[in-house]
Amino acid sequence: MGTKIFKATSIFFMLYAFFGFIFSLPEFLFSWSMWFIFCSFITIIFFREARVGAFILFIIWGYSFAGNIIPQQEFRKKSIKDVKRNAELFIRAGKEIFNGKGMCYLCHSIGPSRKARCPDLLKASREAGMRKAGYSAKEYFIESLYKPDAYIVQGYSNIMPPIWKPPISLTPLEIETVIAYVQSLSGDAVDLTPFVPPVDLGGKDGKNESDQEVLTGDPIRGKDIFESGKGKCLACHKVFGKGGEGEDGKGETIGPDLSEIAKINTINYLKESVLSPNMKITAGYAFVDFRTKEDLRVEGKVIKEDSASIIVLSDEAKIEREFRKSDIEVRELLSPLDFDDPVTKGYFWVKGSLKNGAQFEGELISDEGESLIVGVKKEKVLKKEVASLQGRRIRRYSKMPEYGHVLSVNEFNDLLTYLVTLKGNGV
Amino acid sequence: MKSSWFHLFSSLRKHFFYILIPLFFLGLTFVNPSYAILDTKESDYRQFSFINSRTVIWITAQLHLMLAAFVLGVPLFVVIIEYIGSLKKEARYDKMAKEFMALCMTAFSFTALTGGLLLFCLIALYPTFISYLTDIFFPVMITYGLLFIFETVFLYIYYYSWEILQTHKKVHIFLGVILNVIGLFIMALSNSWATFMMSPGGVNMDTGKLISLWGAINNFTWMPMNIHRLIANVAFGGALVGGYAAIRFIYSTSDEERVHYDWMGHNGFFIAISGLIPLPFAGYWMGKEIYEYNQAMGIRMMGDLFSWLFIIQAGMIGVLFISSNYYLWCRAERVEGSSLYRQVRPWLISVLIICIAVWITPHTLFGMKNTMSSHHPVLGVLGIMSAKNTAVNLLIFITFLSFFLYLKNGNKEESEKSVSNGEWIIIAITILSVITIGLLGYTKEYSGDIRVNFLTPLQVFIVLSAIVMLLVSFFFHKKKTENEKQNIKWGDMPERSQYILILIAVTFTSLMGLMGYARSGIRENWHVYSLMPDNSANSFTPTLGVAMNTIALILVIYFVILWFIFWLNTLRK
Repeated sequence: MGTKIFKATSIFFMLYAFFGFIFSLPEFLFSWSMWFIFCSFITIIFFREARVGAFILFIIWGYSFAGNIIPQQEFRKKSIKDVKRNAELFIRAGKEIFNGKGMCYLCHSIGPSRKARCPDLLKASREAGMRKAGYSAKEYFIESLYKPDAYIVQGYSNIMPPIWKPPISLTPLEIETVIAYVQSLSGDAVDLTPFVPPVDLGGKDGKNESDQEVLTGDPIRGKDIFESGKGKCLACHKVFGKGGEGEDGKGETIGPDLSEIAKINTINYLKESVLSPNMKITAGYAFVDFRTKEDLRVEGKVIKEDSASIIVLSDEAKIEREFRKSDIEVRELLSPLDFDDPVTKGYFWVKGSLKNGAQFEGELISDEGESLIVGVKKEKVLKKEVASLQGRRIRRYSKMPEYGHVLSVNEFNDLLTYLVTLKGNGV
Repeated sequence: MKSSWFHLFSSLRKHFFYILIPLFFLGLTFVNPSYAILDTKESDYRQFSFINSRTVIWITAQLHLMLAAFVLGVPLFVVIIEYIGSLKKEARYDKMAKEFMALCMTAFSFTALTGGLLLFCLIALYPTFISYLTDIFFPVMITYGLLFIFETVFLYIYYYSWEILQTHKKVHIFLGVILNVIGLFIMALSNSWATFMMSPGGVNMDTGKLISLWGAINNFTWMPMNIHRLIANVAFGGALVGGYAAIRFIYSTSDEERVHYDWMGHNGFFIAISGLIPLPFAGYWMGKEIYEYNQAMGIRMMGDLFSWLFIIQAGMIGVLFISSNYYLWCRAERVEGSSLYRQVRPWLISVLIICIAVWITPHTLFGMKNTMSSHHPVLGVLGIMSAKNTAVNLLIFITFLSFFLYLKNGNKEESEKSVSNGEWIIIAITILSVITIGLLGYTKEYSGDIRVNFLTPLQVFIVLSAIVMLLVSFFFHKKKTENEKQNIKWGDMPERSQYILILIAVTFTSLMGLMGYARSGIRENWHVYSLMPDNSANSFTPTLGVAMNTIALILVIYFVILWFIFWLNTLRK
């Protein structure tokens, strides 16, 4: 009788310890295991009838125990839903994507590695900026990430999947954060300039993700941001007769009326206008900044302008003054190679000499990349042939801040979703 | 005679419930297919209040798979054993084959039960997903249902006509062959939707709409999975009947029983090892196809989240190989004239341990990624495929050698030379070639493509060729010395050898559970990879500890079911 009770007790505790082990919290695994080993050994040694059962249970426990003592990692695909356009936050988010959802770390090394499947990314940002003429490092990364076969680094094969497609499915924001992280690795400044994905993200079924990204915002929240939230757009812009009178309600209208903005412009235009207001300034709302030959600095709103003169309403004195463009200071441009897109920078007149001694002078018509078009005869001046260069410049700007630095990505989407409803017939 | 036929039909009537399950699939023909929305929401799922849906499906599916593997695997070798018995005119083969089938019969009922349970759970808990899968595989499911009816009918006819057709053995064996052919088709059809979830094909990857049914069936991993499961089912079935025989041996009360179950366990073991030897090759093909289908999935599987899982898998396979060799050594001790075998045993053990150590060396370890390198700085050299393939090929060849030397020694007197010079040359060339090809994989001259598509298949080809040549040599030699018989002392095996058989059976089952988790896990948060996301609350990969505990629970339930099946079998007697 005593033996039977001993046997039953031993088997009961063995099973109890086994199920305790399976269902216990990780910190108690060793305690349960000790109990199980003890009870199962007693059963195996003393009770022949239950020996095989205890042995089977012991093997199962053994494999399960092995699975529990290795490093444990639960994996959930963490997505970045929203992040403020700030370098530090972008780098942190990018690192998480790099080592998580993006799976980048599996193939790319950070630092030299002979066996890595894909290029080392430690100095990639510096090299990327030099790999394609006219492309910044970020532009190069964007194209490489969306079209992995666009540029194949020598010595590596074309094995990278398009990470914006399933199964990795990184969003444009996540890709941008990864770029920020990679830029930070080489110690370079992080380029936070927003971008438009160079591919149609939606495929053939019309699910254009770039449009979806805009349209999935909340227009009500967008309206709040526009009127009273971070945007405070109503201080400068008028919408359906409301706003545009300065923050105190007594000022002048310094931004265009937006009541019909979505009726006459595309979503991409709206996006660009919010993120980079200086790219395209609506006529009548441009402000200028230049110096005259007499070293007078002029800042104010453009009232009227033609090829020979400009009338400016000065910011401080609030008086209108007319200036001849030929009276604007002539500045020296040290290196023609640094003369990156001078038209956008505000240069309207240039004068210089070529390496062969020839002179040129006149209105700067356009920048063709490798050459400048100058004067009424539209003379083509190769930049690499230029020996010296001077120019007159009027810097033009909008008073609107770059909202990419003010709003988070989701707030930006909400605002944009509100703006596309402004078609002249109320919200 | 008449009563036997009556018994057969009354048995079919009693098991009418299982015929209802395929009829359910037939009922689906009246459902109008409409393509499900691929974007699932959390509201598309149902939950039990006390257990999460994923665990329910996990347990049910795994139990069903294990039982199905047994039920499909056992008849494959039962027919072969029956055929050998009819050729040799030895009743013991026939008796053993029928005993295996008796186990299979009871297991068949449980397979159908768990299959039905799985189906109902899927419909109840994952309705959107199962609806989409039904839309795609509608005709396949109907065919599956019909084949299931045929399988049921032929299984019962095959088993219950055993005695009736004793005088018409060829007819009976033919019935067994038909049963196996149907079984193979059932396995291949169910593999089609299981592999479609991993590597979808034949559908528009944006809308999920079906373009080609054959494309959906014959997706990237379908054929490797068919081959892998076919071989694994045989090995698994052999291991389980070996384990069953071992338990009967341990608890046998007479010498006659001990002799019978020793012999039965021995045969079960050889069936298992015959499947185990080619299984890694099939696994390699499967892995290669996964990489071909999607690099990200392959990398995730072998070099990232599941890297530790594959270390445990390698450890389990290591246990299988070492315990198989140990059983052979125990057996050789009971065979007169095995002196050479004893001499080479330390060498075999050393090589086995080195090969297993290389195999379990990881490539990239999840949890160590902060080392900022995709390879481990010290062990990375052993973690690459060249090292692993060499280790696996040697492991397989050494295990075969163990088996070969055992066969050769049993036929000889101690003084007599058992392995010919020609055979030694084949062995030496094979080992050297495998190592040389492994080293070539480290040189820069050979790109990844050459390594994967030429060097690795060459290694496999050399090992398989050597195995075939040695077997041919053995059988040729055996024919010439037909009068020589192995002097095996049946029933004289030590009890520890029987625990080895149990260890092999449990390890095989654990391995199946583990790989079931791996196959499902590498899909990550997708019901259908890259196509239909899993947005349920359980859409995450649990830690390996949690997975192993769940697998342990499944194994306990499974062995309780098996114990019940075995117990019923003893009652029958």
